[in-house]
Amino acid sequence: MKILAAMLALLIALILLSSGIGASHLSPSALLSNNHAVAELARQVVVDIRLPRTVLAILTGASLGLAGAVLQGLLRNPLADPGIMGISSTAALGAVLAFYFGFHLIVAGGIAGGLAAVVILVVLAGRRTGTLTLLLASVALSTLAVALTSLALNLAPSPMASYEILFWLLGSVADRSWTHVYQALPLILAGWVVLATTGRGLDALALGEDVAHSLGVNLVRLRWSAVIGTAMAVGAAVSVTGAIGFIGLVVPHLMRPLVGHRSARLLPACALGGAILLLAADIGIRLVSLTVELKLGVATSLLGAPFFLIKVLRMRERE
Amino acid sequence: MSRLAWNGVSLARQGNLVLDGVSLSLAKGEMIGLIGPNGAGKTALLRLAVGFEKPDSGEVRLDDGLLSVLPAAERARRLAYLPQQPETAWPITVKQAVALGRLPHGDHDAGAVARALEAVGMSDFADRPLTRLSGGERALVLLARALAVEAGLLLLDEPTANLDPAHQLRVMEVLRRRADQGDAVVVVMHDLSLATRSCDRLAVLHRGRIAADGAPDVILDDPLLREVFSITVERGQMQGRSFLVPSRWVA
Repeated sequence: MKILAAMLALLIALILLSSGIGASHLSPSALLSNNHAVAELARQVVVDIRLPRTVLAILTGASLGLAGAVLQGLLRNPLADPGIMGISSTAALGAVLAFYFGFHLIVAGGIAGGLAAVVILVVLAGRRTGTLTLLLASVALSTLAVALTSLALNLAPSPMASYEILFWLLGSVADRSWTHVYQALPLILAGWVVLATTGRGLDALALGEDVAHSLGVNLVRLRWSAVIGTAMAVGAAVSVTGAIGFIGLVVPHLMRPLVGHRSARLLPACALGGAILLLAADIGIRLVSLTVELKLGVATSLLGAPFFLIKVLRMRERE
Repeated sequence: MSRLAWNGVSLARQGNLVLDGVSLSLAKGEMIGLIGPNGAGKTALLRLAVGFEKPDSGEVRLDDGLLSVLPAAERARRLAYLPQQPETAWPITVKQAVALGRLPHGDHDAGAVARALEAVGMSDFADRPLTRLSGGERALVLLARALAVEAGLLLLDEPTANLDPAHQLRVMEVLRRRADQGDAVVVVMHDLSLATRSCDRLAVLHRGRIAADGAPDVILDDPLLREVFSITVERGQMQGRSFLVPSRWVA
C-alpha cells in the first residue's frame, strides 16, 4: 500500500507541474491575480488548454498500463502490449475511418477498431500460442492498420484532413479540449471497470488454463472481459489521442519488482504507473524546447523501442 | 456413498470414440490408480470429472449429485485437480502458488497453505520463486497447491512423470497418507510397479473401456498385461505388498 500511496503522491505532483508548464510562461498562481485580464488569460491557458491535456495523459496512460498488465496476464506473455499487438494502431485506424467517412462518433470508431484487433489476434494466434506466433500475428495486424491509415492519409481530400489523420498516426494529447475528455471518459471508465474484474482469473492463469479452470475460473468470460475491457479503454483513449506505444509493455515490467505478481496489487499499480509515465513524458516534451513540439507518441516510441529490444534479447538468452 | 462416479460415460472426438461406456466409482479414503497404454482415455476420463468437457452419453456424479448442474465454484471446492503438464508463467513465490488453491473458497487461509506445504515437506521453500526450483521440487509445490483446496477429492494426471525416483516416492507417499486420512484419490500413472505398491485399487483403461478394475494383485494377471500393455512381467513381494516389474515387450 505504501508504494501505491507514494505513486499517487507522485501523480498529484506531476499534475501540479503539468498545469504550470506550456508554451506560454504562465503559472497557475496567475489564476489568483488581482488583474482581471491576467486572471482570465490564466484561466484559459490552465483550465482550457493544460488541464484537458493533463487529464487525457492520465486517462490514456492508465488505460495502456492497465490493459498491458491484463493482456500479459491473459496471454501469459511478457511481450503483450496494446501497441505492439497492433490494438492501438487498429483503434487509430477505426477512428481515422470514422473521421474520413464523416461519421460523428469517432470514439465508436476507435472502440470498434480496438475490438476488431483483439478478436483478430485471438483467432489468428489462438489461445495457447507461443511468443513467436503472437508477435508475427501482431506485426501483420499492425502493418495492415498503419498501411490503411497511410492510405487514408494519401487519399485525404484536403491538407487539413491529412493533418488530422497524421495526428492519430503520431499520437498526442496536445491541443485537446474538454470535449475530447468528455467523449472518451465514460467509455474509458467502463473499460477500466471491466478490466478490473479479471484480477482473480489472471492470478489463477499463472499456473495455466487447466489449473485456472479447475479452480472454478470461467475462462470464456475472462477472455471476453479482457478483450472488451481493452477495446473500450484503449479504443476510446486512442480515438482522442492517437496511437501511443510501449506504455502497456514497459509499465508492468517496472511494477512487478515493486508490487509483486498478484493482480489485486499489480493492476492498480500499472494503472497509476501508466498515468505517471505518460504524464511525465508529456511534461518532458514540453520542457525540451524545439521549434516544433515533439509528438507524445513519437517520444514514447523512441524511449520504448530500446526497452522492447532489451526484453527480446533477454528472452533470447534464456532460450 | 461415492465421492465420485462415472456412470457409463462415452466421449467422441472428431469421430473417434475416446471413452466407450466407462463406469467407475470411488469412495472416501480410497486411492485408485488409473493405468493403461498411451491414448487409452485416462486423461479424458479425468477431464470429464473436472468439467472441461461433457460426456456424449452417461453422467458424472460428484457426492451422488450430477456434476453437470453443479456451479463451477462449488465443483472447485469439492474437487482438486493437478494437470499433466503444469505451467508457471511468472516467477511467483511458492507460497503464492499454493495459495491459489484457496481461490474457490475466496480466502487466503494461511493455515491451509501451511498445512499443504508441510504435507509435501516444502515448508522451507515458501518464499522462493517457483521458477527457481528443480523439476522435482516444483512438482511437490504444485501438488501442495492441489492439497490446499482441501477438497477431500484429488484427481492427479501423471504426478510422477519426469521425476527422479526419490521425488516419485515422495509424491506417492503424500498421496497414500492423504488416502489413509480419508481423502479419495485418483492418480493416473504409467509406472506399474509404483502403482501396484501404492494404490488400493487399479482401474485399467484400454481403448476407451475399463478392461479390469480391482485389487492390484488380483487383476494384473499375465493375460491382461499381455493383451493391454503388450508386456510380460517379473513379480516380487515387498513390505507385505506384491509388486511387478515389466520385463519384456511382446508383439
